[in-house]
Amino acid sequence: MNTKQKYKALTRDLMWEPKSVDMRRMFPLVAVEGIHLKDPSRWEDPFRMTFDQYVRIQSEKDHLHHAIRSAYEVNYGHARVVDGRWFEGVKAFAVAVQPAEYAAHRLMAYIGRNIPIEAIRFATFNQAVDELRHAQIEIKHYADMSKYYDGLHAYSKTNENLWFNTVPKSFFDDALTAGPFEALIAISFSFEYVFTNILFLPFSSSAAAVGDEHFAAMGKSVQSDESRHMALGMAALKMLLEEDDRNVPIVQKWIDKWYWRAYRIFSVISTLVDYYPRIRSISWKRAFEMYVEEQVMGGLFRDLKRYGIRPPRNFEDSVKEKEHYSHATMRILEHYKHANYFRGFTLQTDDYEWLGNEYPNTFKRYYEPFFRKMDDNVMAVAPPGLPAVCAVCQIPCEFPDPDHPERPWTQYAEYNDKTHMFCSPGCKQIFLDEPQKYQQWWWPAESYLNGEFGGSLEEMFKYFGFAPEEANEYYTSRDYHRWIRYREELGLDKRFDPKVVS
Amino acid sequence: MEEYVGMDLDKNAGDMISAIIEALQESDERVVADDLGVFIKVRAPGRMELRREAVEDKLGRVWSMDDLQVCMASYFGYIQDWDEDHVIIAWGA
Amino acid sequence: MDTASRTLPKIREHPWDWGTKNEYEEVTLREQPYLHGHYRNKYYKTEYDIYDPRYTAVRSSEWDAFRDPKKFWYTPYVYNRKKLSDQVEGIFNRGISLEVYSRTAPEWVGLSAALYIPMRHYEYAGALQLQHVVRYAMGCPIEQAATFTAFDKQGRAQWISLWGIEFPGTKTDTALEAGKRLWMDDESYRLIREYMEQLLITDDWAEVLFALHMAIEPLVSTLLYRDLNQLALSHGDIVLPELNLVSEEQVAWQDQWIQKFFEFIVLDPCMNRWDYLKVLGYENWPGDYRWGHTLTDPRETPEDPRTNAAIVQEWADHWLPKAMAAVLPLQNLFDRANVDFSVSDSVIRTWEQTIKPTMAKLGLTAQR
Repeated sequence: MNTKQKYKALTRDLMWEPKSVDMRRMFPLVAVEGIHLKDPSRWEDPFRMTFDQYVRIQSEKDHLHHAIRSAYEVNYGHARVVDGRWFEGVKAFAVAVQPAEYAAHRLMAYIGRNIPIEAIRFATFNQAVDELRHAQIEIKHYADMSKYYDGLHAYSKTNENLWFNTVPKSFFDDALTAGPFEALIAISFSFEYVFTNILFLPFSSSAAAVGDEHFAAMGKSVQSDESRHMALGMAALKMLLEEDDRNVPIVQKWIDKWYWRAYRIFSVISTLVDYYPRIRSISWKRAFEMYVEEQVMGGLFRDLKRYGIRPPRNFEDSVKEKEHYSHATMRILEHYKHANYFRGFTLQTDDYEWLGNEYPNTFKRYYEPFFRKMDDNVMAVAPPGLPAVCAVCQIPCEFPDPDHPERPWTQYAEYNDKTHMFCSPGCKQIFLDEPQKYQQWWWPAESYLNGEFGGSLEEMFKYFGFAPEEANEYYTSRDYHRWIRYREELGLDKRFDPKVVS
Repeated sequence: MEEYVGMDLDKNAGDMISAIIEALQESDERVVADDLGVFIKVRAPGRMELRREAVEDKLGRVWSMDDLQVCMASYFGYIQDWDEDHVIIAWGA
Repeated sequence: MDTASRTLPKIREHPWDWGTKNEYEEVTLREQPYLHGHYRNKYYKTEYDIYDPRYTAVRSSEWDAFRDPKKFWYTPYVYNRKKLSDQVEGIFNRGISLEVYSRTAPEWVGLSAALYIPMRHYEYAGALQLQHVVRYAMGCPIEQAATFTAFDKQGRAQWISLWGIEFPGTKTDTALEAGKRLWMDDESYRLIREYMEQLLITDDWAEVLFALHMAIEPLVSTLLYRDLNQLALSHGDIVLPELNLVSEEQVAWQDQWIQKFFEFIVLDPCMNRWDYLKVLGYENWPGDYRWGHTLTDPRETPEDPRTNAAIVQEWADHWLPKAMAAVLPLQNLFDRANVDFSVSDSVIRTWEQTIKPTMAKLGLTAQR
């Protein structure tokens, strides 16, 4: 037998048609979403991974990765980056992405259990195990950071309770509560195939550029697993489209929803590409063009036309927004940095220069004035309360309409005698398609007002999992002074000089 | 805009990466490699095939397709076939 | 410049506020969020939260307090399983080079194929239902152990398949097909197959762990991976006993953490399923009031008046006799092959030496 036959023999025909119970009781969710399957057994995981291969390849990856990590920790890699503000971005990534990996772990087990297709089940289970890997190797990085810096020491609590974390959390909660096929398209296709490249690769490049070797290694190591997940997403998508024509409109609806949903949680990633690294490898705009416009829309969606699948509903909106996205998001983060576990920062001369050059159409005109004002007084425009957020993506409703950047893009809809607010037409559409679901969202502000978080500001921060001193502006923070002290201790240069580095 | 397929290869993998790129370019001169810092993006219009033997030839030692999983940080296109001898990435499969 | 020898001052010794003691705890505790899930399930248990204590009848005063005795998290687990996988590869390669099966007694070749190959379905079904546990169990420490156990079972199903192809199967998959026919249609397998079918419709994740790992697994794995080794050797088979030793290493860990888990549950006097919130610092959690107008407070769900011990006892009373009955008919396979071995001796020994003492340690009884 060759590899292909062997792979089939090892992973197929292991489940059986039950005789003592009804098949539908065993797989109760298979029909609820209206998906039709004829002969899904002809599909398979293109990687053809077996248990033995999995543990061998993955232990090699882990050996490589942990060697880099240990060297980084022993040599105090954190003190050697070109500018410590980088770690504020890493913190954002830590508490937003790591819990998402963990949620994906539980989610893939759900999908694997409930979709009765052996052809992809071993791949979904490999992914369930991979996601646990990602959650845990990421934590190792943050565990080391937490011994030297603020903001991470109660990260799970922060993830459970903070307004910012409802953004990624609600995304995965949305998938976890959906049917198994929708969850598969949401995560394996929309999230993994369309967006994870942009999550790990540009950010890894920036990490390497600023000297965070550990983060760079982690990003690439995680992404190498994502290759398998992308392949699974593609196989699943094609399977659903080819099995039955009636699946096509259902899948299109999911692609529409999850494209925008995934795109919106990447708003913060755009700031991690454009703002937090002092040396950037690429801009959000360019990364979006390369990974989403060229690779996904230019390649994949052209190919999907033959099934009657068109690009996601709000794709054009995301293209229009690419010159605004990171700036508008950074403005939001700056607005609420006094109530967040990662800090904003005063832009430096070289930042203004880079942003102006990369975004000649938008930065100087629409965003620079705001950041200049922030420089004068860090609290100048901090709003007193908690943000009014979008009822779907839960990001504060402060995105500008890309066609008229001076106007807000905020949308409204009436449902159940209540006015609901959205950051964009994309989110509004998603709400209107499933209002029953989205009216259930947990809104932290309501909990604060209701007293769940205690009566005082102090108690509220305890609930958030960090103290007010761990928030706010970076270059005036205790973390910045710690970083300088660590560098002095190690005899490294005190100041960053852009001319020397470039 | 052409429909490219390709891979993002992790530069940490050293000589393996240059061997893979050489092997790809030898069988198809349209294969382009761009250095993007921590990884190299290789792409070709429509279709790309990597053969184990070609990589072994360049490396001068035994090499397994499983090793590609360790250094391929990402890819784009459909994986049309993947076995111990070759990998084909293409559109329109 | 000698920088590496300097020690930088830390702002805290342990990275997290919840005082982790080792690497395993650092990457395991508090991984799962317990509160503020956004939406209710659309199709399954639509009244329940994403991570909800009501997915099982038993309660815990602190779900996060469970510890895997081997402290497996991803990296050590994968390193360890890679070693086992290398061993299996070596065993198979040596078995092929030495042509072991050309000198093995034919009645044993036939019997071992009929006995082991159908069990790939047993292992696979267990792995499948453990994925249900992975989704719905409370807290990462518990579901993480279930994750690796499910992965092990997938692995064993594949090892058995490989063995079946390489050895009794004469390098084709016909042996696997024959194995499946036995599993589906042979009377010897009917009860064990039905047991697994019942397991696959069992909703309560802790009950799944009981039915699979406290009841049937000790009987099956002791028989397959330990008790038959001498018999195999006496028929000239050195491949299967070596493979069994590797499988048994996985099974030994599973038994260990499962027993710990049931001690953790049964000895916990907790009667209120929301108690665990206190340890997490949410003693004043007002419930899901945000949906006050659409959904009720989840804490209004009536509490189960039975203790954890009583609940687990009920599971034991239900599953243990079924498990015993399910394994005994495998005797037919030995009788048909004219091989002298008593399945009931093996099963009763496991009952007396493992199941009864384990249950007694929990203060529970075992009836068969």
